[in-house]
Amino acid sequence: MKTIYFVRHGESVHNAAKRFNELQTPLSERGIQQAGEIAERASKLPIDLVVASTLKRAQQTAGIVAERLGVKIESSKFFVEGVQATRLLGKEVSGPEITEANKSYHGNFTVAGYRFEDGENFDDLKERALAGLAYLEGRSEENILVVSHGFFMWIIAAAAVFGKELTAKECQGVIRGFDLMENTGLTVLTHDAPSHKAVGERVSSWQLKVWNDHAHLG
Amino acid sequence: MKTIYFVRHGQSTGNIRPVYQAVDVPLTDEGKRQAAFIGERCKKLPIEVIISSTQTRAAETASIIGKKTGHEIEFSDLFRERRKPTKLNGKPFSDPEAERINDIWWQSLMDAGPRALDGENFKDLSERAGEALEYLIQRKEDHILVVTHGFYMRYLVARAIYGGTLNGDNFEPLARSLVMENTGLTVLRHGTPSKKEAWGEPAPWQLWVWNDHAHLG
Repeated sequence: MKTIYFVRHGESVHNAAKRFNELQTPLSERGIQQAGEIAERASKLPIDLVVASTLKRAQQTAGIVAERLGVKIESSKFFVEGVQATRLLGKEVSGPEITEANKSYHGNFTVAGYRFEDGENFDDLKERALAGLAYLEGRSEENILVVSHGFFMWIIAAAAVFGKELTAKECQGVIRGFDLMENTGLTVLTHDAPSHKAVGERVSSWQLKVWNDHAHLG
Repeated sequence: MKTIYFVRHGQSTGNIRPVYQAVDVPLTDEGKRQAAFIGERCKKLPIEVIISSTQTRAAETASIIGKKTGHEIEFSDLFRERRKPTKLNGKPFSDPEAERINDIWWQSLMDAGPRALDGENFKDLSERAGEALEYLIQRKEDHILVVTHGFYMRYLVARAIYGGTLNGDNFEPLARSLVMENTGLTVLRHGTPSKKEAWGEPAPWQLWVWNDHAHLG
């Protein structure tokens, strides 16, 4: 059995300023503090490895966690944020460009083959999330902490629950109906957990054990 | 905005035996200890009312929590566990006849087959979950703790997420991968000030937290 602890990166300076993150946007002071809090909590978990998205805010968060735990970090592109159209990066979240882009992106999310400019579309996201889950399944470590991102965590959760059959409509349901994870919120997936198999239940190999636990944030 | 804290009952005597749990079973000592843990945690939440399923294991859990938080308990049948075919109650998992009925029942829970004897089916449960959510919206309190059950919780969450478009196809994957711990905490919010402006329109209900059980260590 495997347990994967997914942590959303700490607050970035762009999260604080309500702007779309850029690839190199660093953590804010508060984000650094949040990373310390989840690191403290993670020190009570039996973690063998930290995997981090290659984006700066995830790398910084993972660095703080891995140092506290004394385990190594493996960087992976599987867990980067959903790739947005380049011209939107750094823009104000409630500004006109992003408002317009959202209308197109979410209005057409379930349209087969639809893509907004040079961003990732549903098919790309699904493929990457399934590949990321397969990569975690293939690792030899049993307990892995992965630092990833708010939007992409919806895709990971949807891919874990619905598997290869995931449709854009089901995925959109998760995006709309699961709240955005808090910065340094904790989501846990298990793979082939023995529990519940005995009790007449029918369970999938991946289970969404926890979504967005943030008890450590008070 | 409304915040609904859902707690699954503590471990029951029916949770630890390889039999189909009878309708009304009490908590084990471990279940009472779990209820006290979540009760301690609930003291820090701004809860205005506690509503419990009428089944014994939920009522006992709610009562232990209510003693900690200083609330009387209200009861509602809207939060009872899915009703299983009466013939299954107390039968061992290994009983072939029970296994056969359970298979038919599972299909009916996924809207993929006929009703199993007097058991509730997908339509019953999806509608009941819809009514339960509507009932919570109509309550005057903004912070409500509900003590309910493991399988029914999946209908509540699925109905919150998919609303009237919930069907057997989108429900079954959720039913297979959302398993709550005894006294795990799940939080749904209704009409949240959106943190999602970056990603478009949210649904009316949002699953803020699923099965947080940090209090269990």
